[in-house]
Formats: sequence, C-alpha cells, structure tokens
Amino acid sequence: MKIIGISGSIVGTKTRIAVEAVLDKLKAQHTNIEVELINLGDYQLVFSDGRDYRDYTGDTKTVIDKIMSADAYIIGTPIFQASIPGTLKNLLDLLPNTVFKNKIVGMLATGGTARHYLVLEQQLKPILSYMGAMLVPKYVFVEEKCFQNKAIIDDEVLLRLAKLGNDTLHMAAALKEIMKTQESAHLY
Amino acid sequence: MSDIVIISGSPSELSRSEKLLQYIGSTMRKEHYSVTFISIKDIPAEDLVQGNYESPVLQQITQHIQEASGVIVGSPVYKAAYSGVLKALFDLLPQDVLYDTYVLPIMTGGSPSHMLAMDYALKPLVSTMKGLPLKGLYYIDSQLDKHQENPIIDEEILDRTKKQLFYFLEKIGLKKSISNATIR
Repeated sequence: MKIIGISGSIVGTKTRIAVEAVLDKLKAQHTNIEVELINLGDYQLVFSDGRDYRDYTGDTKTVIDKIMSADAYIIGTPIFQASIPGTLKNLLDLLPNTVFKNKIVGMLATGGTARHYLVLEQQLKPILSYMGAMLVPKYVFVEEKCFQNKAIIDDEVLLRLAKLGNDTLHMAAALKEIMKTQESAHLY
Repeated sequence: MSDIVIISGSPSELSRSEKLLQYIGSTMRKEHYSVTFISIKDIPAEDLVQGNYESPVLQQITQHIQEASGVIVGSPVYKAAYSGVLKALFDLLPQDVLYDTYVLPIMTGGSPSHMLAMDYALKPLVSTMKGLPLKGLYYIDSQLDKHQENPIIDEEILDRTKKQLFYFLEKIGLKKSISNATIR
C-alpha cells in the first residue's frame, strides 16, 4: 500500500506541515505501508499543454510517475482568493483524467479563517470526483491560529488529521478487498 | 407596489435571520422606503408542499417581487445551503421573476465555516431567476441577539451591514444613504 501526500502550493509552509502531520502519524502507526510527500515547492513543473501525460519530461515526469504509482492520496491545499491555487489545478491538469479511478483521496486545507471552509466541498471535490476518485467524505480545515513556530499546536486538529490519514488508509484497504472479490468473480 | 421586497426563508418560530430581516426592513421604512415583508411562514404550507402554482398567495408574491425596485433574500444556513422551504417558494415562482433586479443575499449560520453557502447556493439560485446578486451579508449567530431591538450586536458586521445596504439602495436607484441615526 502506497500513500502519497501532496502539498499543493509552492509558497509557504503550512500546507506541507499539515500534510506531513498526516503522513508522519500514518508511518508511526502502520509499518506495512509506504508513504511519500510530494511538496510542489520542491519541483519545477511545467504548465499543462494538453499532451499525453507520458510525454512530459524532467520534474514534471517524476511527479506524474510518482502519483500514478500510489494507491491512496492525501491532498493538501492552501486557500488562495477563495479557491484552490493554480499550482494544484495545474498538477491535476497534467494527470490523465482517470488517474484516481479506484483510488482513495483524503483532503485537507489550510487557510486564514474557517470562512473558506466550503472551498474544498465546492471546488476540489467536484474536480477529484470527475477524475474518478473515491473521496473520504470528511476533510480537515486547519486555520492559521492552529500553527505556531512551524508546527500545529491544536491537539484536536492533530487528532482530526490522524483520523483523516487512518480513514484514507482503511478505505484504500477495503477498496483493495472489493477489487479482489470482483476480480475473482469475473465481474470486473 | 413597494420599493423593496424582503423575503425571509426561515421556517423557525423564533428566528434570528427573520428578526434581522425585520430590523433591516424597519430601518428602510424609517428612511421612507416602502417595504413588503414576505415570510415563508405566511404562505400556506399545502401550497408549497403540493406545488400549487395557482395559489393566490403565490401570485400576489410574484407580483410584489416583479414590481419591486430591489429584493433582499434571507435564509438561515441549513446543511451548508439555504433552507428547503425557501427553495420550495422559489420553485413555484416564474423563472425570470427577478429579471434585472438587484438582490441582496443575507444568511445566518452557527459558525463561520458555512459562509460560502451564500456564494455556492444562494447566489446561483438568484442568478438562475435572472436576478443580479450583490455581495451579500453573512452573520454568525454570536453576532446576533434576537431579543434586542437591533439584533446586530457586533460592531464590525454592523458597519458592513450599513455599507451593503447603502450599496443596495444606490444600485436600485434610490440614492439615499442610511444615516447613522437610523441604525444604532
């Protein structure tokens, strides 16, 4: 089982910290899974130009290949202008539109205030659904006040982030079982 | 015919949003605008549930809205959207009932988390009825006290209220400012 955490911003640290919190907890609790962080700030991605996803090169290819190889995802996003950042949308644009088929996606957001809580519900969820994802219904919104000295200091938020990771993992495990049953019954 | 029609979409007996809308209506009246206040509770429930397009009450409401210079639509946030009864009312109105009409959306909610219900639920509804939605006002329950004459107890949101009402009146061509004396 491979779970990839994506931090969807190339600026700031809060989203990366929140995604890392989920991955670290998963790693500590489960030894039989592989987790990896993709922080978009660490890569130089080109703009999606509509070519086949296999034809990209360099960092863009590296990131696409990593994402294609995972079973489940934690996608973290900051809120820019009451929406997801262009960097994250560009990443989604680079991927084939069935990339998340039979995969589980958990989501989190970081933002100044909870007033933008519904951005994920109304913007990120429809895009990921279109791309075939099975979504963990509840996402976590981490407000700015939960951060201090580059760490999350709110215990309740940390619990919610841990639950997000576990829910994502358990849904992915359950989906694998379902797929196995379907395959053996020649239904799939 | 009224200058302004206010539609209150709360089915609750003691409603924060309705109290707020009534207060806004009374300040407009003090400024000599004529106001028609429509509460969802004044419409026979059978008409709404059974989809009775012929209902005389609904025909009267349609006429009020069509003749108004501007409309204020208010609703509490229920399940991250407007109330079902408010939608039941709009479902029975002609789909261009708000044609070329500026509409000030107002919502109240228990927490800041559902502020965008206004942008994602209420404004698209206004647009689909051919209305022109303005920015709108979102109140958190803790900013309101429904037992006060002026239920808006938070200074910041009170200022925003004055500003938005001013823009609303400006937009609908009734260019009168709301004086500080009226909203206290």
